[in-house]
Amino acid sequence: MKRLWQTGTRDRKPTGSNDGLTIAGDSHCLAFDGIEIVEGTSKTRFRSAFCSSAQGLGVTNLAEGDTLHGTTINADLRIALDKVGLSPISQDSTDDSQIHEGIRYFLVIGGVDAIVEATHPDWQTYDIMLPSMVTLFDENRLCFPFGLYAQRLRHGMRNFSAGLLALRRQYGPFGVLTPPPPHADNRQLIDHYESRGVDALFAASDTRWKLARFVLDEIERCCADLGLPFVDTWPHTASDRFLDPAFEMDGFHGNRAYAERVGRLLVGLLRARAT
Amino acid sequence: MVETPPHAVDPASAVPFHLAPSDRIATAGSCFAQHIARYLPKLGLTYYIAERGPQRLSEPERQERQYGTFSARYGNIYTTRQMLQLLQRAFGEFTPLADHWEMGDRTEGFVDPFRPTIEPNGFSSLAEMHWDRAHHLRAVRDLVSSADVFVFTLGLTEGWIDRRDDAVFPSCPGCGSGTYDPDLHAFKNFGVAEVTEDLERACRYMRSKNPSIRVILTVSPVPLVATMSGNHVLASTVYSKSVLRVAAEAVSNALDYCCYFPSFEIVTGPHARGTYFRDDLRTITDHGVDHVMRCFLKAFVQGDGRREEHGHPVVADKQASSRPSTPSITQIVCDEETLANRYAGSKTYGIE
Repeated sequence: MKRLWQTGTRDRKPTGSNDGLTIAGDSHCLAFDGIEIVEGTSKTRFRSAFCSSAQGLGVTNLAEGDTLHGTTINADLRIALDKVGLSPISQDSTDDSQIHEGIRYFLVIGGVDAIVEATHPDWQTYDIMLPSMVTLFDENRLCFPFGLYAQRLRHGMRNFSAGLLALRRQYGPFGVLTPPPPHADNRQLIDHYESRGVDALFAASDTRWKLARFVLDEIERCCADLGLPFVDTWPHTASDRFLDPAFEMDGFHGNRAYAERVGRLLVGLLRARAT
Repeated sequence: MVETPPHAVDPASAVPFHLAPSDRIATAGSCFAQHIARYLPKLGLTYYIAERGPQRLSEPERQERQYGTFSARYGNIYTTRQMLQLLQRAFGEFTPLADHWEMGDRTEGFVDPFRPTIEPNGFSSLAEMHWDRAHHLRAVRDLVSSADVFVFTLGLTEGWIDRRDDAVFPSCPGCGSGTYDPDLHAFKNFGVAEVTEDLERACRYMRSKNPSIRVILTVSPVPLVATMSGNHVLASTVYSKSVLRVAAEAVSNALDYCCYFPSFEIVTGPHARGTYFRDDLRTITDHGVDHVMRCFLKAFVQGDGRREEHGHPVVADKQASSRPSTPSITQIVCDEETLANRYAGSKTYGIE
């Protein structure tokens, strides 16, 4: 699976050259707000469209309904997009091949689901084996059936693909961006949530990593099925699987340096697609 | 017996030991054993589960994965040879050559040949399957070492073996998972001498690991759904049940910590006139299970001081008396039914 530009629509020019690029979605989008990527004479300013729903935007609540015409996109996400001027391209359009000027925005999603999952008490006792990396397993813990975890996640994501389709139809072509890799330090994560009045235990860092990775693998699979660009930031921002310390902010989010690194990645991908 | 109301017939003899509420009672065996397992708490007895699974499993997920169906997640144990080999495997004395099967039906996944139905879509990796097997066998060791009572329901004499090491599978390779290979696999219908010897060895084995364990043997009244013997299924059923009954009698006579409880007789005896079977002539009715457990309670629970009134079950748990008297029949996992339904295009357990 190539994590490259894979749009199914015809591009005229890439959005982003002397233009703004919107990163929409969960709180991981906030790091991008206001950054500028300058390459030669080209300058791309990023802005965030933060979906501030109470439970966070995740793969399970991107949309309701499971048919192309009957899907309702998360209302808070629509508000966030409208706020930055990303209006629906056509209220009545049902034509998926409608041509627009390149990618209008990126959706960052998947971080909330994994972190919430990691707070379940079972993960204090259990670890999980990803089929692709069974050797990364804590032998001092019990093994949670991977098939069950996958089954539950896929059930929760039953409306996700329909939501992606509805987003594209209503707001134009977009790409999906992963959140940053997990932080290696549980303590920092706990402190981050305690500072917000949330008392939580988290799964061990390797377990958190696996839980998050599988969510993103499922998102990638949905994107591939729909021909949506999927940009995995992990290979570009990780050190020894976890978020590079240079990009850490608060135990959960990436910092501005992270956003600038990913921003350069996105601008480069846009330019490569345009040429 | 002809003058006794059918529901009051109690063929249980005096038993050599009684059960206390604090006794940890383990169960294993064929489909009928699941009724016993589920009924024990209703009788105020302690059903011992050594392998519970993740806390967050919903009840349907737990049942689908057979957590709590028996005292450990071994699935149905149909033959005495299978029981003996489970004990030997748990204590490191036998490692079958058959390591894993692959799921059929175009489903990816790995299956433990000795527990082919405990993970609905198979394990996602071999490593996970190996881990689970090791964990399960550890649980069986713990179970045998610490149970006070072991109730074993004998189900079949027919089975499938690996020709290389005589390992017994609970179901035919190739039915649902695995691949049948006539060079590797063979049908086996155990004879009375074999069954008796295996049963006695299994009981003695448990006792050697746990000198205070007591064993209750019972024969499942559920007839065979099919037979590979070449005989009519009715003839095969009578043969199997007869062999199992003789073996249970012989072993309970030979070992003073072992006794026989007549589930088979209660359900199939002439007093019942066949009314304890549902229309499929296999599934035991709620009334049949009630009758069995009523007699079980009377035989084994000493000094409960209760009397049977109007033929209704007398239970130790007051809350249980307001619930349906038996768990839903649809929740009983029977590999034979499962396989039959799978080939019929249905994936539901049970008959409804």
